[in-house]
Amino acid sequence: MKRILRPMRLTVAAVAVVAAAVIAGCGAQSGPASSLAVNAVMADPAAYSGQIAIEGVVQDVDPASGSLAVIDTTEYATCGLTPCNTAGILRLAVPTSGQAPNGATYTGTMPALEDVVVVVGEFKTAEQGLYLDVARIEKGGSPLLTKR
Amino acid sequence: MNDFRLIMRNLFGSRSRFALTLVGITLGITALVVMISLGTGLRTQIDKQASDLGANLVVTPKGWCAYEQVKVLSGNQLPDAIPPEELVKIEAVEGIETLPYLTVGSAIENEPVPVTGILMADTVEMKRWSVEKGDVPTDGTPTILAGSSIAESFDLAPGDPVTLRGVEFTVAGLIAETGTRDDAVLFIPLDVAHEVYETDGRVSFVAIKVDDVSKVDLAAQRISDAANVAVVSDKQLLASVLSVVDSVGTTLRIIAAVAILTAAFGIVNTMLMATFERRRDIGILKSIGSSNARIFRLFLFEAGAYGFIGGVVGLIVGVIASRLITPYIASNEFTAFVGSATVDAIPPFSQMGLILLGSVVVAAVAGVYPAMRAARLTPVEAISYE
Repeated sequence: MKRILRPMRLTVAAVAVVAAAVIAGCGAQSGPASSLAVNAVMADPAAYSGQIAIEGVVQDVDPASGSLAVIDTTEYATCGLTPCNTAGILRLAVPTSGQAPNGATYTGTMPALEDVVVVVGEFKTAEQGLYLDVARIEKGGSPLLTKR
Repeated sequence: MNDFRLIMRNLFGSRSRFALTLVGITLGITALVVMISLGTGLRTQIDKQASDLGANLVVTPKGWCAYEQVKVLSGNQLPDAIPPEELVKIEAVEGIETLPYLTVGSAIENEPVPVTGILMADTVEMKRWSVEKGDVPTDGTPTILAGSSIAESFDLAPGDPVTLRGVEFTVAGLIAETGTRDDAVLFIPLDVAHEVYETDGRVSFVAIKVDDVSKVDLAAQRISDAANVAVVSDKQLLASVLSVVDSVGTTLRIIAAVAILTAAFGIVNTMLMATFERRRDIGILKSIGSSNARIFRLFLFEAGAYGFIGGVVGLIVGVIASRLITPYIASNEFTAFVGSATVDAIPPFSQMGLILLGSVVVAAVAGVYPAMRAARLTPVEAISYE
């Protein structure tokens, strides 16, 4: 009986370790996102306060003027660069030369079309209305553009 | 020594080999259980969502793909794409009751919340909601009817203020738990939603209840003729959504099957090694009168035992893993149903029995070749091996 129980204990321990590793790995790699979706934010941008992170796909980029348009990642996955929800386009002004309408300047590289980016910033109100004051734009966890 | 004791001794004789072989089968069965749990949970939820929609037909803008149709059932934000003039044409069709929906969104404490504009009294009646606290909001007033889980998440009670698009709303009532996505939505009067979200009277989709259920197809045809919209029946909507889920489920099951196949080859390898190492034992057994059939049976049952033990452990780990993993998988739009409602993530017992049987059969089949090799050894050949 002991000869059967000992390997059983070893087996249970091995399976538990593997299960824990799998669960931990899944948690680390595919846990709930802390970034917000573009469509969710654009439904009511004024409802968000403080600094937030928004994940999306670059739909349009003009390095010369520093203008950037970002759409929802799941919408991009379904509809491509022409989103079904036309209200859900996050338009940003992040020029690396010259100033944005809010006087901000940026350093770094503009993302490319169809890049998955995380835009970190805070919604503020100005004369032209509500806009996102971008602190930085990240791609793959590394900053691409940073506010000076 | 009887056969059972012999099999047990051989099984646990090499502990590390036993453990490593078992891990392979366990992982394969775990993967299969998780995939089946997820698929079963999704189908159950989608069936429930579709039946709770309370509609025979759903009117959507033309050109929507299955992804948008999923959102009809999930309550997620949709484009406000059906203009008011088309809605008027739909409402003019005889023999139907129309319920327009405007699915939008907002945020509370920087957490996105789904918001849906509805015709309050009509929707409450069609969906058979029970208001457990407060009252049903009146159309035209900035009031909210909150689902049970979102009310609990943000500690909402009748009388509480909630700001949506810069307008202060008041929570008028809370819906009793429905077990559907409606539990996670804030419902506001449609006319107020139009004003606050500046949609110019456009809606996301229209749920249609047909007075005479036998005339659903006729009603669908009349709506298509009257307005420039697409009309799907609740069954078509369900089939369309399930086809997406099924294709995902098929892919996941193939992945699980590959994992099990890999484990099967592991058993083949283990048993061949065992055949090699136990040549002397086989020779001794044969020399004292054991038949080829008995030797074959011993190795085959040993392989089957791997499948049985691995299957049992895999089922247990799989059930635990599916409970832990599905909330993470549910962060995907398609599978969001699972994360937002209570889903029984345990496969039915009949299915678990089949999984266990399958594990034993696969392991036994994997053990056939090694068992045949063992059975064919002659006593002299076996004993004389050094």
